[in-house]
Amino acid sequence: MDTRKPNITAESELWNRFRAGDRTAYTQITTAYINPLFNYGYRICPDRDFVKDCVQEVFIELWNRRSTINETQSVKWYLFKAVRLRIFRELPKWGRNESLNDDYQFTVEFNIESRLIADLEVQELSSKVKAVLNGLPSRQREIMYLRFYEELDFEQISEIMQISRQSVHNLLQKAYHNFRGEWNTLLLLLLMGEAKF
Amino acid sequence: MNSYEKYQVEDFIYDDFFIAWVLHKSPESETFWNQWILQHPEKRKTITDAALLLSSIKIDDPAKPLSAAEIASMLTYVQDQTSMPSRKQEASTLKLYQNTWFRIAALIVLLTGFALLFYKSPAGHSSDGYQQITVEPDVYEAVNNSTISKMVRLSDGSLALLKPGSNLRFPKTFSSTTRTVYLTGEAFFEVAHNKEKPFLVHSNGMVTRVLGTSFTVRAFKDDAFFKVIVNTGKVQVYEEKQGAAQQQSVFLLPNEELTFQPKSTSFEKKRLPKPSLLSTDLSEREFSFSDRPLSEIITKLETAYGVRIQYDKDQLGSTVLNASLSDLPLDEKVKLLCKAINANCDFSNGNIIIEKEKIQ
Repeated sequence: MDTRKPNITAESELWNRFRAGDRTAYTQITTAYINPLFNYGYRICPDRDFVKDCVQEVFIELWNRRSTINETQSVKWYLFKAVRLRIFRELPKWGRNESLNDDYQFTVEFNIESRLIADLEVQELSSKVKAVLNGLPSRQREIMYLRFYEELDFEQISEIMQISRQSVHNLLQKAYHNFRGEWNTLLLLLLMGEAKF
Repeated sequence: MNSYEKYQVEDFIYDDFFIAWVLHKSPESETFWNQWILQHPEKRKTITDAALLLSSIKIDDPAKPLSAAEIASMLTYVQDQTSMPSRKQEASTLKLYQNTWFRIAALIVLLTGFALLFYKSPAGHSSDGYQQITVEPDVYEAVNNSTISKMVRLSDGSLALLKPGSNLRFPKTFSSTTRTVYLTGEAFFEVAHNKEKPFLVHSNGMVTRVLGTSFTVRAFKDDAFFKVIVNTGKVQVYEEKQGAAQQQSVFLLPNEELTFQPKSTSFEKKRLPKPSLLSTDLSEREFSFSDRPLSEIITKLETAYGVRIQYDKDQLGSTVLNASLSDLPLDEKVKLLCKAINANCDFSNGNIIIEKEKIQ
């Protein structure tokens, strides 16, 4: 099951069967989401064993709560939200003091796909832009990750990160304005490059 | 209805419907946007720019994704825990205990010359200054306020010999992914081999991580330093706040000692001048006994491990034995001896007691 582009009807059927207590559905869900959840959790806290523990606990809790879960919730965002909450809750018990807010690290590396671009100047520019992207504060990087890698929408992201929809928008605006100048030039050059093919 | 006519590049790139089109290209979005562009040709460039920007952002694949084995083990654990949880948990604990102990290499470094912190037994506590209390559901704390080492046995068969003035916090049953304990003071650990589950000792902001080996950790609150000495196997030491992946972690091999000064955050590694009796090279010879009296064997164990073993010396001391004990952890060594002389061993309260049944 490609969790990045879930088939909505198939998934909600799976979800409903799971909620009714179907073990096979539960197994399918856990198998499908174990990797994305681990990858996401690891970016928040790069401690392999800790994140594995959290993911396991989320799955166990998911099963235990199956009868109280809402029908309309999307599987993915429910699980992502649960993992994030659990990580931040459990961190202090593991002797770490990262708070829920801005101090945490979100590890993600952005790349600009510029391999088709032969122009050296454009290549240089894209690495500048890449640097800006990668220099974004954690919250903004996390939003970018959830949006572009996990393809969750802003509504879901605001739920997962426990911030308002408006905050998500504002943070992204800030991010965009940080590299706006660079982007415009890059786009221009990229488009010129595109025109050659 | 969104007024897309007024949108600039930065507005499009944050629009869910637009993003869905660029990333997913669903039939509905294709229809909509293609038609919209036809109706608003002046926005074609803006849209193309936005789409290009969105599609050129790439994100790396995370380092070291979960292996198939890790996934299988995690999912199995989850399955077990969500069906008849209490019974299944016990079964898996038993299994671990049976399989791992005989692979433990037992080696202890004698910390000759270290300052023993003598504690007087506080009035009102257990008579010999040692207690094991339940601090949270399923979490125990062993407190050693006596003047001798106390033996703590952990759920996977590992052992901790807790030195005086030390305490150890540990779960009743280890989790499925790690075996984590918290130490204040000093202890010698004999850790059962388990590749899937690293054994982590947290103490004073440092983490000592092992797979299966024996070593000593020393981290008293009042110490200006933190020390780990390895007897067998290999351990990794790092600052808790840095995490295991950090460059700053240090690996230790047998008969090496590591001192960490928190003030200067510097690690110092040295080889021990004399390998300990429990090191792999020596232990085979030191713990193979042929036709030796029990008293000699017990004295050897007491010296090597720095523990006291209680037994009736008059009654049992002169029993002659052949025994090969080198590959066993301390508790298994003692059990084997007991079996050989037909006696019972008692490990309650951190003590090691050998008792012969009274002949009726």
